[in-house]
Amino acid sequence: MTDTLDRAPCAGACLPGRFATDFVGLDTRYATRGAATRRVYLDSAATTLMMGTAQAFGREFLVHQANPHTSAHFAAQVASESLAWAGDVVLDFLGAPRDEYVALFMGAGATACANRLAFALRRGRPQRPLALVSAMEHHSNDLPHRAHGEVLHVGLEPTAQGPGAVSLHALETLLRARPGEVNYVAVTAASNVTGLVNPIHDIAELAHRHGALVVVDGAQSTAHAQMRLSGPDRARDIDAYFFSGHKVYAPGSPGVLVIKRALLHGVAPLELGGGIVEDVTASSYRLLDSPAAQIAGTPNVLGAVTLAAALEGLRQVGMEAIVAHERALAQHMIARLSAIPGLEIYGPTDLDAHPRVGCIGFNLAHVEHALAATLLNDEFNVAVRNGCFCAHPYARSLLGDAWQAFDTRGMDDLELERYVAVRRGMVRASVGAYTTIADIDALADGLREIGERVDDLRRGYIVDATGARSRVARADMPNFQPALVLSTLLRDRGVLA
Amino acid sequence: MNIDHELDLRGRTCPLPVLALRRFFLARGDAVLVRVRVTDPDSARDIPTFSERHGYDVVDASMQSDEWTFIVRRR
Repeated sequence: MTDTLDRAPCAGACLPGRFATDFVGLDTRYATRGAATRRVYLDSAATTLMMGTAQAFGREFLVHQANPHTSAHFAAQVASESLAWAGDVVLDFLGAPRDEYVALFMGAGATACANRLAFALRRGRPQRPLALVSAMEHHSNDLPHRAHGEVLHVGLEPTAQGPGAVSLHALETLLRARPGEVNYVAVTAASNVTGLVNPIHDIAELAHRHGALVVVDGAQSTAHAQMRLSGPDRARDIDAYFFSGHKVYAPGSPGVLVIKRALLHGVAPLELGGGIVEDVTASSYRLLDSPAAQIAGTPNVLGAVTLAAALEGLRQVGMEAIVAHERALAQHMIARLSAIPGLEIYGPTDLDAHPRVGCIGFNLAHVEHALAATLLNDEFNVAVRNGCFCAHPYARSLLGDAWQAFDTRGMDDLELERYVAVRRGMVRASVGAYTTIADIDALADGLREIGERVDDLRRGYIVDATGARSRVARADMPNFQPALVLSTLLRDRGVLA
Repeated sequence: MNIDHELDLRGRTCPLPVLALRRFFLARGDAVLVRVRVTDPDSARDIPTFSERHGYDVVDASMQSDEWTFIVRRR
């Protein structure tokens, strides 16, 4: 059972035990099958657990909590300097020279960054109205570009196991077809559906040859791959990069946009307000001449410093070791899942030929994706996600290949509906630095049992297969009632009588 | 044009129309021309791609008030 699992995350590439266990929630227990067991968390692509050291660092900072934007008192100075430090940590972590790039903290995640970026590049380069967006993007790196100009989607490299990484040939064809019109190429460094890694520096080199910029969604790569935005060959530099703090072991922290300073010159901010002005009169205002003028209002300093502390933790352990650990986990997951009868993994599975981070989308034959995910939770205490993961066009293209090749002969309409219901989405398991081989085994063992006993297990559920999404009716939730817990805490601490 | 059969798949969402079209061609080896009516935009986009990949030709396509009609021919 999962509560006896070895927490040593040795996958042939061990991480220091103190680091690997320094995350909040690794020992969270829920009742499944009538007993409280340790929850296995395999939903890190959606949000990671909090790094304990980063959380502790945030608490230390709170002693000095204040609004920056003044040097009138010590705490405000600490807040200002801490925010600047957090920006420097981000830049150093990503190999982005401080004199050339700036890190801006904003919103609640990558979505805010992509919207601001699309807005800024559209206004900063109005003579180029077109954005090329890869066909594997999360909606957050697709829809903002559509909102601010014309978008064409770049196709993916065909492989024997369905679509692979972004096709450089397809990209070049589009760049040549619209000379002088492409403002930028938007691409994710790693897919949030399959974990496939894109050749972002090759893409940058190609885009730059045609006068286009390259902007990279780093949500799935920052904590799982070694990123270096700038190197000796400047033609291969990344122009802008963004990611979410909640995906780098600092939930509650903002999104971060790292961008070449020059690209913000003369670009008005998306939002206006305090903290970004030299002067305001009743009839006019003058903005600060600084990249900081892009972010109006009080910044989330606590979130920014927590995020920076998490990145610093990763840096000190070493991204090389983390990448090796997570690659071993991905390899193990692919091997174990591939051995389960009827289980289909989406995307190519040869990690040498087609690198992936530890984020794997799959389906189990004859088990609706929503039911599979729910059973993993309810029966095996394994937390995964299901659906299309806010990347509907990409997920559909992965699923569509399977649909179109399927032999539908002899199926009646009900069987056809069931077949489709299974494949209107998929299940996704994703790893973090704290994930162990035993966690992957718990997933695989659970899936194998679900495959063998699905007719028995599905009796407790209602799966609505007629809608666009499957819904599974279920009963129990953990006994966590926020209002009750808070009032207990307040009483225990003597705040309330 | 002699239409062998009409598949009325209006109201069905992706990927059912494509699967139903495939089922029809697999089951009816004698059928050459089929008229397909769909209301789902995703399916309207997928039918030409599916046809090209699987040995069929879309010989006519039209759209009228949120409804697409395709004439698909077996090669």
